[in-house]
Amino acid sequence: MFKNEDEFKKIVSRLKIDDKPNPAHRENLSRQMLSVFNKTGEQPLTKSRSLRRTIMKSPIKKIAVAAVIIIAVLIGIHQFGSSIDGAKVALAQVSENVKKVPWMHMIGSFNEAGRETKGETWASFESQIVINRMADGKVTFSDYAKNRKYAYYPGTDTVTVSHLNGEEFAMGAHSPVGLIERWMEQDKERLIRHKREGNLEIYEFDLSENNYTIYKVKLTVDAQTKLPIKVVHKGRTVHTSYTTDATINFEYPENGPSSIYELGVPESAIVKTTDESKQYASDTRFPELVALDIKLPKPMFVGTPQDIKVPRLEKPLGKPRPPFYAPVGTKNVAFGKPVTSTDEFPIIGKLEWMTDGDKEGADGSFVEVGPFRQHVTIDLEAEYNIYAIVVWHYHKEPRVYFDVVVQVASDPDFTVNASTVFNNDIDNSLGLGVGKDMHYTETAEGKLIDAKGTRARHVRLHSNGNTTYDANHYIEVEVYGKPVE
Amino acid sequence: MVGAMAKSVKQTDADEIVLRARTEAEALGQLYESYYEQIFRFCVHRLFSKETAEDVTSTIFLEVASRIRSFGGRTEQDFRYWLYAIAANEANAYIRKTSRRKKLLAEAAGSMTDNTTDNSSEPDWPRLYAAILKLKLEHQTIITLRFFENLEFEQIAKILDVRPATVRVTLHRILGKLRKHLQAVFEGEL
Repeated sequence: MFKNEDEFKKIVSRLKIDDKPNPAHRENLSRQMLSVFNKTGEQPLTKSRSLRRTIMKSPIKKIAVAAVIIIAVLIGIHQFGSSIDGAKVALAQVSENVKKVPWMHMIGSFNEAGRETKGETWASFESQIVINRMADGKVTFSDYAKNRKYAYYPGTDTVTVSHLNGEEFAMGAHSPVGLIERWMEQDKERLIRHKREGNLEIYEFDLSENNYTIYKVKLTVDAQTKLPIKVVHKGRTVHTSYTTDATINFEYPENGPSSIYELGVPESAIVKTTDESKQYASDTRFPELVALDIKLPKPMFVGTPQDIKVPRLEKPLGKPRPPFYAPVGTKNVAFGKPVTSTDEFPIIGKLEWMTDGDKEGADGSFVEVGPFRQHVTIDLEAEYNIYAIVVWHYHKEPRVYFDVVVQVASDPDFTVNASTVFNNDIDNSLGLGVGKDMHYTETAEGKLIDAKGTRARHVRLHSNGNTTYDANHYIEVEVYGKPVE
Repeated sequence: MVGAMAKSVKQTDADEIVLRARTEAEALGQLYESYYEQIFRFCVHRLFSKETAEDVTSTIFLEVASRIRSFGGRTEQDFRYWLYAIAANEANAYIRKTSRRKKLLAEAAGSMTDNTTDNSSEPDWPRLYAAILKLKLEHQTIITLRFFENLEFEQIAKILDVRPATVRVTLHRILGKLRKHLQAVFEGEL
């Protein structure tokens, strides 16, 4: 037996391993690979390119870009000013001043391949509100402080109300800061010119992408107030004749719209929530939402887990999970409720521990059910509108559980009103369908699943081992809901 | 083996080939020819079976072909790390399935020779593989990269996106575990 690394190395060097490749496989694979490569060339849009196309074709995104250039400096993205003396400082002043104004109103006119349109955006740092209104009458009102988004669709004369869970105020409903970060990943200097013309300061940015689009943005700032006056976008694709231009003018009113109805949305518009079961909105115009009070156990490890290599693994948030909002009166309705499992005799612990309220990660708190594919089912003993399910598999160490699928239904056989609210079985190994959710690392926060108010009595959780070994564990499962009215 | 990594591509041209491979099939073909054998061997070392290694090698290079256009690296070294990261992930994804792990273990067990003959204190490849398979997936990768691919700690760290010191410390611990697993394999436990 070996005693150290060197001895082990010698053992390995003496091994006789047949690792000679098969020339036929090599040849075939070469052909297949080049075929795949050529096919991807026919659709050359990578993620960032399609993102660029989105911006080029979306007036609202253009307004967001105008605002985001300012934000980008604000959050300290260095490329915007690092190459030109003084520009970084000056832009930082612009950002700071924008942050101080009560409201910023951006009015844009756009020309997309000869088709003209208009739109406008209001944004307030203080109130954390971003509002977009387009010429076709569509309005979105994102209130980040209250975690709500209202969207009016004139075609259906409908207002939808939804949460902004996980989204942070970033001058746009779809986090344009994220767009800027993508560009920044390309490690290019984006600010290409900075000059003074009378009372104006001009900043020119090049947001072009390699061999695909030419995209330039000119920001004009009032030299006295250090506030943006105008942003002009000019873009064109290299390989096609597509062009896009936009001009956005800035105003700084004392007050902004306080609701979508101030923006021309008719009072008679139908109000819907994102919950299809319609129970969510109840009889009030907008249901009163409150942050769920989820008590967390003591963390069993410190720091951000980084060394788990699993496909489609969610990046750790690096900060506490944002609050989850649900209608007033929502509570954990799984507490003390009976649990059954495909493994009736757990290896460690008892099934009832899953709903006993003890979420601590130490031994004696978790139940270990058999290896490979297993599921557990909680009977809530009545029908509820379920808004969230929080599951703690095991958080003594960072690990990832595979094929986590969470289903809800009205009957124990999962045939009536059955629906899947979470599924990260990426290769359909459970046979319940390919999941689009991501793998995640277990932590003391547990995994919060948005159940969107689905009506159900039974909750079933599947899993199929974890990165450490094949067994399945549960510390606690909480189901947040309200009785069906 | 590290030195052999770029054996068929001149160092001076290699970076340019990587850059061209984003848009030119010919350049990608050159990279393929340079790396096919290494990746295939890596897969054999990770997956024991040549047949399985072929399947996973195919998955790796098809993945490369579909993602190379958005590959952000500029040098051959960047490409090498990227390629090995894909290879390690694909091999682990294969082994992750318990049923597959059992199959690999069975294949290794079926290939074991009689260890009662001379030199029996030193493991043959099937026994060593069976012991390696008992490690965590990421630890298996480290063993393969370090001892079969002969990579430096810094190179392994780049591939796995961790610090070199982490690899060094982890490897020390892994060898301790591997020793125990190997002992168990010798005693007939699989």
